[in-house]
Amino acid sequence: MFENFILGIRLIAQWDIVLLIIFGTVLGLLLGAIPGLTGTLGIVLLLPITFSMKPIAGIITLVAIYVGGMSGGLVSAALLGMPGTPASVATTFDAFPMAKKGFPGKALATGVLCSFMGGVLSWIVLVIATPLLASLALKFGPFEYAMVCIFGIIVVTGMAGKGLKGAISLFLGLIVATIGFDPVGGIARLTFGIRQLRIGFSIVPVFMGMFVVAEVLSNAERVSEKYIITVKQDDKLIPPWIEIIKNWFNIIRSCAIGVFIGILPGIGGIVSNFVCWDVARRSSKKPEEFGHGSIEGIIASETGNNSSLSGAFVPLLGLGIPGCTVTAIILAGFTLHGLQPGPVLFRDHVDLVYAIFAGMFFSNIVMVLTQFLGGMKLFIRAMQAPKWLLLPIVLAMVVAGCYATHYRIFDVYVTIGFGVIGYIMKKTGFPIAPFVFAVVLGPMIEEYLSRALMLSGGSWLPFFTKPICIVLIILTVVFSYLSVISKGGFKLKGKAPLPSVQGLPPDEDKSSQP
Amino acid sequence: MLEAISIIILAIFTGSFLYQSFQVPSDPYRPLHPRVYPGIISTILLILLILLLVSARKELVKQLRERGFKVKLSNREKVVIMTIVICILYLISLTYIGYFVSILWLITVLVWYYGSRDNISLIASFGISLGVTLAIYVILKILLNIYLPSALLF
Repeated sequence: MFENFILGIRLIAQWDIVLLIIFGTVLGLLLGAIPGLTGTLGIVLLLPITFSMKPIAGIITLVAIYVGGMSGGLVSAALLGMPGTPASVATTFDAFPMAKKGFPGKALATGVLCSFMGGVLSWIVLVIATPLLASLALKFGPFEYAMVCIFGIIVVTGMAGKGLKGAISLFLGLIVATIGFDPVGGIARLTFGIRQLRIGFSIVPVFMGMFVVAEVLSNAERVSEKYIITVKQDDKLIPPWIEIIKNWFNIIRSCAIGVFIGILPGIGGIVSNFVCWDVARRSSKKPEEFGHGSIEGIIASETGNNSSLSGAFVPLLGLGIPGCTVTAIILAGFTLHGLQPGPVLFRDHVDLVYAIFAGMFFSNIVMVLTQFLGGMKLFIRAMQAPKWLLLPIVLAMVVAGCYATHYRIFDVYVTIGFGVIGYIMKKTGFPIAPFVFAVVLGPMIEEYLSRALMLSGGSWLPFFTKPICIVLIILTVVFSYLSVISKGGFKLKGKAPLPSVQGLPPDEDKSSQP
Repeated sequence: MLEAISIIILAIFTGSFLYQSFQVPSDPYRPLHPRVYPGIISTILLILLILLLVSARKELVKQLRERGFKVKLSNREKVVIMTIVICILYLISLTYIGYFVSILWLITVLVWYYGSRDNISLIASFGISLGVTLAIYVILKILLNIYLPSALLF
């Protein structure tokens, strides 16, 4: 392995590739930091350009954008309360309240460092344990995947802590997800005769509408305020080392969860960001601080989403199966160069595989250096612009980003429409997180359930006989039970005493007077 | 009041989904028919909405007695409604005029409207908007080569 690694480093130790890694990482950071423009968009845009490059240069550029984009999402999540990428949603819960308290530097520095640690720790796991982890993912069939998805939405709904309204939000999201072709037979459903609805709603416009446009509308109410009202004098762009060291177990646990979730095809950073945050909250000695600027929350969510990044490469490189949308695009990058990821790639182009590993590590270093050597300072200054200037710009960029994902004007309508829905949901106390999560996982649940039942001839029994399913069912029941017995459980009349986790900054409206 | 209206609209919306799910043709070769899953989800949602309406009825009746059906909007809510109206006009403009001209007027109007408390004049708003639009044009169109909606104008 060591020899292969040296081969890989030699392959990337060329000035043009080093420059491409730096370019890709910085581009990803910038795109990830702007709500609406994700690192995924950057990868899609550069994919045709990489065709003219050497295979190693092209693929490493795409990987670098991915690494930068994942970390860039933290910037707007922390400073604007708007996740730059869907995988940073849970980061907004604590990073933004911390920034609002006057510590944007601390929130960003902690997030950047944890992104780096998550990236590096999971990278070690990726390099050492790829074959082992890939074989674990192979044991997952439709029954297991269906249970993982159900477990995911239960966790998010429980964590939203809005009782019956959380459950309504979840089922509303599941309904929205059923619009369009059914995932197995391809029969168009619930389209109300609207042609554009036949392929359903794309995830990016729904996300950007619910989280960014809704946030723009909420902020329009308080447009005379600045995002970060005051930056306290003792706020520095230095990570709080002691607090981070104290959270060593939180980091390792979030990394393990992130890698594991990242390996599961189709799930990735969005889920790991939420799950790591929720696990940290449940096991914390100060759960009441979560949602109000808890450093543990930032550490967990940022370590988790960056760890899932390496995890997503395990099935891609080990089996040739993409772990998420981004790795699916990178898979397209491989095929553009006539390469097929999987065991054959390990056999025929092992130097390329290890060059990707080395490039990923280097990209993480570029990301952390860019942020600490001026990037964070620049971002904080940029975000201190008045709201009357920032909000219209964000709106214009979101529209451009959502249009550019599929080049459909309908997606822009969807973005604005879901923005209004998100705003109303926020005003009426319906949590947004279960809704968007259900939109993502809904089609997967139906597809895996359908496939599972076809395999078993309509019998539900395998759900209760397969060991992994049994573990997941137990976990789902335990999480549901914990949600019910916790203060924010599924009670009918209760108001949520848990942190106001809606994917948006908590409790702001209550303080604002008309 | 907004909550009650939302619940009722949601219930109507869910009922129509339930009706639509019955219209989906069944597939005899699949244990989970394409109509079953949305049907189950719609039914559960409808039940949950009824439960919410029942549990919140006292509060709703109290609100109705206090305020009646009059909807009084605060200044802040008026800003949001105005923003939504501008967004709708923007969508129409985007479809028929094109992205760059639309964001030029969108940013001008919003900056002027939002910045009125800070005495931002219409000319200053236009200047800001022109700068931002040019920056977006250079970044998205020239540097990143992103195709953006172009209708009658560029």
